[in-house]
Amino acid sequence: MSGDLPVRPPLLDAAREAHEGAELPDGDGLFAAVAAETVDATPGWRDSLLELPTPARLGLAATVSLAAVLALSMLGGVRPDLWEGAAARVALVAVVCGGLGLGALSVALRGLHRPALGARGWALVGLALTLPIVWAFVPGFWPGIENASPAPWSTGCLWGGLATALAAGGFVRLLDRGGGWQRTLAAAGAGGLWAYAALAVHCPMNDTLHLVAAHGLLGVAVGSLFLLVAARR
Amino acid sequence: MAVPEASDEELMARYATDGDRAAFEALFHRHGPRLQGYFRRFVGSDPVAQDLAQQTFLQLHRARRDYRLGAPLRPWLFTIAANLRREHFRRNRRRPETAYDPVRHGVPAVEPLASTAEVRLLHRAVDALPEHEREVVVLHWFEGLSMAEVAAVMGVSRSAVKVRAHRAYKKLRAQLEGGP
Repeated sequence: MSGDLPVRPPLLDAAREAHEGAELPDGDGLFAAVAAETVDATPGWRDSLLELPTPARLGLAATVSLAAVLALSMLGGVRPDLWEGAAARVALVAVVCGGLGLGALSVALRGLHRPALGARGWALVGLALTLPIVWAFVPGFWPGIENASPAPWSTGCLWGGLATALAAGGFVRLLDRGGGWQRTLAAAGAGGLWAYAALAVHCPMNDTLHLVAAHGLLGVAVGSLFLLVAARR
Repeated sequence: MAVPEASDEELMARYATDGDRAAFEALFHRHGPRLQGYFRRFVGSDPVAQDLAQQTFLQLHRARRDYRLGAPLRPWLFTIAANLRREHFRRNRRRPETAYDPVRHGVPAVEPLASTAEVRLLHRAVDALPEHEREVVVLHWFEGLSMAEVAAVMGVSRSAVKVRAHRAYKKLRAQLEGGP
């Protein structure tokens, strides 16, 4: 190993020897404290979720999120123009949001035994939170129905979308072993994206204000709520 | 003939597959002091370092079903530790963090031999390094991880680790030997 060292101050040898001779003061007592929370503890339902292998946590989170999206779609109904020109665009939204949501999910549930994603993770989280907002401003993308019911200021989409994003994102938070802002916002971003896709299936409105306020800001709203809750703990 | 001691990987395999408490305890006693030493170098406080070392084992327990049998355990363990350390700094960034100073804090009991003035000076020099260089020195030299393992823990390329190590050792030599 030392062959790898470009420069090796001789003193490091002495310091390393000292380090290797180390023992924990009251190691048995410290282990007893750790064991009481791990091997000696009866796992609760949350522990059982956290101790699932990462692929199982990912699969479970995706399944619950899909169920929340389907529930919103079934309760809210399908937009009347779906088969009259909107299907391809809605499908594109569903595929992009679904894929990006899975990416955000993988950031949110990344095992702590894997290196931090750093800037790449933040880029994905930023995209997950902002894409639904930006999409509202893409000229001509949303054919929709001018002045369709409900009115642009209707809050039906907002509450339904918030419920879906909270359910999906909140369940992801339950499966998160590590915490931290990146994971928290990634969970919110995933929930917001999936709720956005469900609303695209349901709502025919093409009003930009409605698309931003009631559809696009769901991830940001849920993320703010999650951060607020985390900060108060 | 002495019975060979079980390797980290064998102990972890026993723990991950059978929930063997004795294996978990053996891993704790083997790596707990090293983890505490690792954390102390960054947080400068024994109680906080101890708490973070305990949290590392809590996370090891939660992640045990993610462990790939036979994979080297130490990089795995130190990746958890590095992630917990970053999260600790993020949470406490408003509070002033004090790097470990063996003169001011005293030489901790877990390093009974680190009492000579020269070794203390070395600790000071290591603690004065920028964090990304200090982490390389601590993981590579003090913890004995290979360059490839350090790169895996830090999530950077092996060449990036080598560059950081080169710069760090150059600075250490300059400080300790009065060089340029």
